Formats: sequence, structure tokens, C-alpha cells
Amino acid sequence: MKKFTALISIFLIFFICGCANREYSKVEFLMDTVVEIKVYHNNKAEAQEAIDSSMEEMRRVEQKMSSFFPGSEVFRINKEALLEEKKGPLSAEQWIPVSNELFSLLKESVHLSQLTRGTFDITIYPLWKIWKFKGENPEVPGKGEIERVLKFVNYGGMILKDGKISFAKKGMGIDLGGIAKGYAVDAAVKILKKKNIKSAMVNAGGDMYVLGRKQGRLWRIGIRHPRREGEILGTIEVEDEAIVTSGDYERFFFSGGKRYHHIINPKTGYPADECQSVTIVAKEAAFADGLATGIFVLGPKKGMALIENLEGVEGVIVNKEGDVSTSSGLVSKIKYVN
Amino acid sequence: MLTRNDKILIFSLVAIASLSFLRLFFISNRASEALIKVDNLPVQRVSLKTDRRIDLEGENGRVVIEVREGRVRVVESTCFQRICINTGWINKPGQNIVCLPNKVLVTIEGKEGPKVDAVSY
Repeated sequence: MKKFTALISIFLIFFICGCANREYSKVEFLMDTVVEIKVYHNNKAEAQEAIDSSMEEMRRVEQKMSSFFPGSEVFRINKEALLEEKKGPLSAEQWIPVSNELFSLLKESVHLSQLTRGTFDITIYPLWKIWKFKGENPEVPGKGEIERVLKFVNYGGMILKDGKISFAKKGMGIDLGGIAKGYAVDAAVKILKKKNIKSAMVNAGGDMYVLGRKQGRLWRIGIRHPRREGEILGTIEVEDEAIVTSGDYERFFFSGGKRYHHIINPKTGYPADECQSVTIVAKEAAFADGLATGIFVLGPKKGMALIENLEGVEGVIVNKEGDVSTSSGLVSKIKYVN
Repeated sequence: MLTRNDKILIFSLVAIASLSFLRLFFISNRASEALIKVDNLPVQRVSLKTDRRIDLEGENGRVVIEVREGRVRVVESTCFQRICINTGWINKPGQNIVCLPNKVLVTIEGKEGPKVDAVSY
């Protein structure tokens, strides 16, 4: 009888625990994509307050880091660099002050550039501007224009010192598009943790972080098949990880029968064509975001070697032929769909 | 030692718990539907069983959604990049179509439930 009672009690405890944490979620259009925050929590008011605060935090990050948002800090830096240009070459004395938050993100960008041998580079801004991917009518820039602008793309020419930034050449600028989305996800997760949320997912258009477990089990995250719309390549089961994918299918346009996607190689000025998609699993979404972009450009071989070299970083790379490679630490955690 | 009342109590609790499970199961076991949201507000939930066209007023203009043979797609939109139209048909639970300029989101909901919690793309 005692055994029976114990069994029933365990069953009831499991049942009650399973039901205490309900799902709360919110979807918003932010950072040029759909942002979804999902929280599992036992208190409705607390959960909703946490979701609202973290959404607000992402909006704040967007307004600070976007190079297209007049009034953002990045916009201001690019504008000041341009104003200096009119006066003459920007000398090393002409420093532009940067907030602490942006300064550490700039330093992280440089770190990512060093790791990826410059294939991730936030000084890509002048190239971004002429490709006009953000505009209504993107177009292939002329060869001469690309060559002219390429001289201004080099992270080595971006000088960071004592909370200030300066550029080696006039005409340079920064765009954090390859890292800001991930950074915003990290910022939202920080808020959720502060609000005592133990189980949540912050998903910014497929770039996400999963906090804790989903009702006792690992989160099951699908990786999109780069060539079959609506299908997944495989699934991974994770907790407390960021999962970010860069693919050539996300944003593109056709010109003269040729397809041009939005991941531009900062060294050639043209879309990178070594990979179809790169998925990175890491502890921070900003890092995963920058690394996925950089490795997409770096290519499958050097990219996988880099992933294997980095501690706590795993990844899946689909090369241009569609062959899939998986990093050693992910082999046991990934299930491929055929 | 358990009294007769204890046993009744335990039995009732187990019965209630089991019934709740069944209830959850039946509620989620409905036929596939598409949920249409504009600016984060649900505007319509449509069954995929009936073919139809839906005219919507998005944030920046008209969006037309078509339901046919258990699938759904966006056929017309005032946006420039046409990402929503190019997405094509969707029919699996968890799949969605997004039109950012019009703030329109179409999500498939269904009895199978998504096999994954989210998709990285």
C-alpha cells in the first residue's frame, strides 16, 4: 500500500509541476524580421512583464545599432566620419566617442574578424550601401564602383581606443548587420534571467537562444534545408545555447538571370558562393551570429576547421554542392531528416 | 494506513488528472487551421478544408491570401520585395509566411503540432 501511495504521489507531483509552468509568448516585427519571445513560467503577470521588458530591450538595441536608423549611435558615427571626410582626411586625432555598450560590441567584432581572417567585417558598410539590399530596388553595382569602395573595407583600418573610434581612411564606416541581431537576442535573454525566468526562447527570425529546458526536456530546434523551402535538414536538442544560421536563401534578388544574395564577401565585394548555409551553436548569440556570417564567406573547409578549434562552439555547414558537414561535438546531438 | 476516504481522495485526484490530460489531448486534436495576424493581432483563423480567398488590410496596403486544397499562400501584396509571395504554399504545422512591410503573419496550426520547437534559418 505504501508503495502504491508513493507512486501516486510521484505521479501527482509530476503532473502538478508539468502544469504549473504555462507558456506565454509574444510576436513583434523588429530588426527587419519577426521576433518571438516564449516564456514558461508559473506566474502570468511576471511572465508577461518579463516578455515586454525583453522586447523593449531588443527595440532599444535596434535603435542604437542600426546603420539605417537616423538617430542611432552607429548612424551618428558613420555620419561624423563622413563629415570629417569633407574637411579632409580623417587623422588619428579625430576620434569619435562611443558608448561603453557599443564599444564592447565593436571589440567583439574585431575579435570575430581576427578569427575569420577578415571574412566577417563590420567595415563592410560602404559595400552594403552600394548593393542597396535594404532598399526597394537592390541592384548589382558596377565593377568599377565595387573596386573603388573595396579600398574602404578593412577592419584593420577601424581604430578603437579608450572608448573612441577612428578610421584610417576617409570613406569608411560600420554596419553591425552581421552581429546586431544576435546581440539583441543576448540582451533580451539577460533581461529574462534578471526577471527570474528559467525557461524561455528568444527567436529573432531564426536566430535564437534557448534558456533552460522546455518543460523538463531539451529544446528541439530544426535547421532549415537550404534548398527545400519549408523543410528541415535535421534537428538538434539543446539547452542554454544560441543557434544562428546564415543562408543564401534569406534575402536575394535576380539581375540578368543571375541570383544575388545578401552575404557579401568583404574581400571581393560580391556575394560569397562557397556555402548554402552555416549554422552555429554557441553560448552567445552575438558571437554565433558573426561567426555564421564569417564562416559562410570563409568556406566549408576552413570554416569547419575554425569551429573545431573553438571551445564551446559547434556547427553544421552545407557547402555549395549541398554536402553537409557536422562538427564533432554535434554528431551525437543531431538527427538528420534522411 | 490509508483509510477508505484516503483511497477515495487519491482515486478522485488520479481521475481528475487523467481527465485533464484527455481534455488537453482533445482540444489540441483539431483539424489544421491557419492563423492570420496583422501587427501581432489575430484577425482570422481559417480552416484549410475550405478553399477561399481572403482580402486583408495590412500595415501598408492590401494583402490577398488564398486557401486551396489544404494549403495556404499569399497571392497579392503591396510590398516591394515580395518575400511573402515567393514563400509559396505552406501546409505543415509550424510553417509560416511573413510580410514585414504589411506586418502580416500567417501560421499553420494543427493536430500534429510542430515536430520542432523552432527552426533556425
